[in-house]
Amino acid sequence: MTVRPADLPDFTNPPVTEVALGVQFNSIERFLTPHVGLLWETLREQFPTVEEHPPVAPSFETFGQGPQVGGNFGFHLQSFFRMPRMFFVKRNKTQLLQFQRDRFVHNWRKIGDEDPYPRFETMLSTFETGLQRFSTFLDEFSLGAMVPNQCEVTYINHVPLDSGETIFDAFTRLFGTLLSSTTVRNLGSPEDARILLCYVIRNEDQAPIGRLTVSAEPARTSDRTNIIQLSLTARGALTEPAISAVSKLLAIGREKIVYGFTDITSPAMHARWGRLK
Amino acid sequence: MNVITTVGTTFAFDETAARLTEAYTDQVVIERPEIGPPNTMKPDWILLTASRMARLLQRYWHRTDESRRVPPDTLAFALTTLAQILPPSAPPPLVSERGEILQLQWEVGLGNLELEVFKPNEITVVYLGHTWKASNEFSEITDKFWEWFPQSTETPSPLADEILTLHNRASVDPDCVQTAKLAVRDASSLARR
Repeated sequence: MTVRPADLPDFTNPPVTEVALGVQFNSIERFLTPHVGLLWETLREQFPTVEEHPPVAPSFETFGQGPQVGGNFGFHLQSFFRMPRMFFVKRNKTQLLQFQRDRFVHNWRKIGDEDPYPRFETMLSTFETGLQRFSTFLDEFSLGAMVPNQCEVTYINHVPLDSGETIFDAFTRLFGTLLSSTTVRNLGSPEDARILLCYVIRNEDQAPIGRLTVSAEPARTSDRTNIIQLSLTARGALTEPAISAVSKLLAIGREKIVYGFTDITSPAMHARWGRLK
Repeated sequence: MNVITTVGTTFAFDETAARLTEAYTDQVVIERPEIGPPNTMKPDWILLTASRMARLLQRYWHRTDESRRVPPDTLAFALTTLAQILPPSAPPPLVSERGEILQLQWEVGLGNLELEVFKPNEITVVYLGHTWKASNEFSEITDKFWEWFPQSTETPSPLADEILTLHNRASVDPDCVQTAKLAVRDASSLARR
């Protein structure tokens, strides 16, 4: 199993509520709906529940002149008859595997307060096992090789508003000095706020390989608790289109996320979350 | 077959595959009176290029043979790439296929400019006997495209003209109707922004 880097910041009680590790690969057009049932049969003992969801459109981090007028563009070309995305869900509902023709994703989500975050290394191990199973399945049925083209790590954190606190108070508590100069004369502090930050991830040669995107926005959970939802996503292309390179890029993405989370959030919140180093 | 074609402004994280979290965020909608022409434009080439790619997907629905076809992820990668490398006033390319390879072509200066997308993260640009290859970093190719398509000093053609063109095409080409309707809807929504 992968070992956690020694100098990576760590928290005893991080506000994370969901983590997703994913790989996108060149579309395997021969992987059809009937194959999903055969694949599920091999994983059914661990993941006894199956769900159908709409497929997610392919997306890519590319680098050229930068965002054009109006920001980045999102494109979705998708037919109604695309194969659905399938969820294979564990009995306790906190972990699942997602399969579609060009993606494999492993999620952990917090359902109850007592659900502990299993930590990245454990999740990566489950991800690797699932990916290997999928790859072997494709080989067995001669459906085509898996050629990865993007990897993605996402951490979603929920920071509840304190009693009587405004949204902007919570933002200030969460981000500290990042928002220190937003007061406007005669108007005071903002009533509402959203944050979106994008950073370029570079390799040893300083070539861009991906992006870290940080977003924060007010939200409400299903039990109507007002929160700030802080999402961090690291996504990029692999140095080589091989399954063996996937875990390495996911580990890099996780490292960027943890450093990003630590550097943009305030020391006061670090104390609440029990920062160890 | 109905093909959904949407072209819009999104942030990269919106496309994240994996999120399941049951938290609902409020959209920020800022309605404001128009007091002058918009000073930001969507690139001219987007609408027709997306429409042409959608038509390529539509044609597959009518095929009964086992021939190789351009996968949707190759089309999505091509559009993402064009958004990085093309200047806003560049003309839309002709869209064709060669097996699984997507071909985009323009007539430029002394000859044909061709961009081939073999698969995600694998493109080749050919012009006047020169070839450039790239995966996901397009700085050099971007510079070339901005040379080949210098920014027009005239006002970019209004999006309304593009919509009219699509309407006209839809009236003579039944296959194009659904795509055109969707593209027009998206274009109208873009124009309102």
